[in-house]
Amino acid sequence: MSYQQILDDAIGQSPTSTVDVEAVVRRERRSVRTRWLGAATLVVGAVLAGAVLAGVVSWPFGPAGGDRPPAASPLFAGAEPTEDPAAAKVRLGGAMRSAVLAVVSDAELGGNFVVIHNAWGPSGSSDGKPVYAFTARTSITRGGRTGTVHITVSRRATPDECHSTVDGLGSCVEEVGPRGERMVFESLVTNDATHDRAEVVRVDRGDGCNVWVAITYDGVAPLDLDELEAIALDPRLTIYP
Amino acid sequence: MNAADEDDYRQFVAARLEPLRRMAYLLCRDWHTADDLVSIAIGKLYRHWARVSRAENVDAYVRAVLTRAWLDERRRPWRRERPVPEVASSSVVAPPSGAVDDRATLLALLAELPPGRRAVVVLRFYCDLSVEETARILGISEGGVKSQAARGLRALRLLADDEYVRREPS
Repeated sequence: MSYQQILDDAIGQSPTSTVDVEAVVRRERRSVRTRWLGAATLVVGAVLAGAVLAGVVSWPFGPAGGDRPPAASPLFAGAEPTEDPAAAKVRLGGAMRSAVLAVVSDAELGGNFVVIHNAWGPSGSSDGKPVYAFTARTSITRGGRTGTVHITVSRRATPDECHSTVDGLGSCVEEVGPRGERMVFESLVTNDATHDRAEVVRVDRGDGCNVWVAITYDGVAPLDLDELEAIALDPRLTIYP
Repeated sequence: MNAADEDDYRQFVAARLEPLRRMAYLLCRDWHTADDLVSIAIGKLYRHWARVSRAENVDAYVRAVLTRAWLDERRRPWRRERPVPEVASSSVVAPPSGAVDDRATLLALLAELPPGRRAVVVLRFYCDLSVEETARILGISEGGVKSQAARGLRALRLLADDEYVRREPS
């Protein structure tokens, strides 16, 4: 008897499928139309920007161009960290606080980031080794808006990419960061016990780290995606100090 | 996507839906989550059908999306598993007092494997993928696949009745 047969036998009879193929097709058609609309908007924007440049009008917000380096090469797992986990927890707790306040100095944090070290972590490791996830969260208030900041720093182990129909996902965009980082930006509805929306930035960094920064909130987020990105790119958030 | 392509897509999905659901169930052990994962995978397949359908192995693509979606879903900070302070790096499961004599026990044993190792076992031995294909899907080396597959099977065998899982198929 093959393993396939053994496992098939173990699964037994499947319940009736709840996968609605037609609903998936409809959703993806809508998504394609939206992307075309977005692309058309970008083209119009690019034409207008070209017109501005052709008129020899200097761009007031820094150098033009700004070519980004090519995307990160196919992902390879980061090395296993050598730092003592207890020391890393203390260091990263401080680094998380500093990284957030460096980006949003007008924010108030509800407490320190108390870091949990989870060897396997919440994430699945594709190479079978621990991911060494250091994770923490704290509440944040900024301009009357409240939420919870979640930060996880771990070993890079699974490629970060968009999975467009993840539960509650509103949008997901993959980008390349300023140093070739692989970045994913998500907005979604959560089933978090305290907040009903989330913005997430996930970054696969060149140093072998994967950094997640998320804000869960109701109403208006105290941090936007650009701010989450800036936090995620803070070099202090690393397991390889 | 034109109408002919959509027909091809629907035919492909109809033929693969059940195997994909079962593969997803082996990974996540929950039929609702399994169906969500399959929806993710076939949604992404729709978007890239024009390119993927011309490739050699559409099945490998959709399995890769499904596996990565599962690994990804486990990482949501608000959905994470209950954290434990430290976990041993090997999959240590207490030896059973008796043999594996029912399918629920086998599935429970599979669920004890760390996620990456479970993914390797499912891809290698349930989906019957080669070491190379498994390595490509998971983004790890072929040596890593061999090592994880061996460890995964060893962990299962520790608990399995010799009569039930006697030998690795050739």
